[in-house]
Amino acid sequence: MSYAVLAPTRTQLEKPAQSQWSKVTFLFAAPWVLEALDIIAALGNLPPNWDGYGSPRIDIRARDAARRFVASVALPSLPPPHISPVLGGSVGLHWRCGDRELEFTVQPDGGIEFLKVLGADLDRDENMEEGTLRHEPESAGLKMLIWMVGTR
Amino acid sequence: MPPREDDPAIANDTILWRAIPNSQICRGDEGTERPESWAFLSDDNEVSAWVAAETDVEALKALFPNSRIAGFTAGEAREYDNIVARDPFEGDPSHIVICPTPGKPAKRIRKDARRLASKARLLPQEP
Repeated sequence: MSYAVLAPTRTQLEKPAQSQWSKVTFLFAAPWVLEALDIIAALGNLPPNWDGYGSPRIDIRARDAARRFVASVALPSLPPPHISPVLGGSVGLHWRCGDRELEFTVQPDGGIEFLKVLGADLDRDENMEEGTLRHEPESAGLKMLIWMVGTR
Repeated sequence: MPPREDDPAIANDTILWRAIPNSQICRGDEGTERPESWAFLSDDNEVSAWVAAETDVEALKALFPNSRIAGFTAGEAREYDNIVARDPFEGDPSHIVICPTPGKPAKRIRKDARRLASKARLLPQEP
């Protein structure tokens, strides 16, 4: 295996989040991870009331926790997440694979809440689970994401 | 403040509009777009919307730049154990709030936000 093919380009390194994380994520990371890290970093540029409903700015602690989480779960088999600012200064990470979905809400206190969608019929209560990743959230999140892309 | 009460004068087929930040719109496999579930949550459990028939869509868009307008019915909001109540805001009588029914568990609130997001229909984007 040649590591050279995975080395960052100059353009990639010019972006702050990419250069910050490049050493730890480049060798085995999914192709989407660097862009995701930059999108999360850019959420810090949103002004107060970014949604028009009075939400505060996206908290730097939430952004840092979201970047750690993304860097920890950057499996090549995962599709890129949709990254959203969330009310209360949080960061939302949404992965979808077929009719399975995972939404993670990374909060300013570093806590991570999840919503797991197990099937297309959302009116069936058993098709959704929600909760908090309390212990080793990155590992727990990774397990969920592996489930999401797993065989059916 | 007294607890909100559902307003039966807002019929179930009344179309409601909510402004959704562009950053909270996701895309499905087929290119279809929908609001993220976070767009239907609020810190105080009061999600703002406007009665479409009483609102000028252009005025709403002007209030919420960098947003799209999503429509859903009052019945769809109520289907998930929500109250739909008038809440005139800054002289605008078309403003309503969607609140969970009293005693609704927090877990249900989170899941129902996802359900309502899947029911909401984004108005076409102008070219």
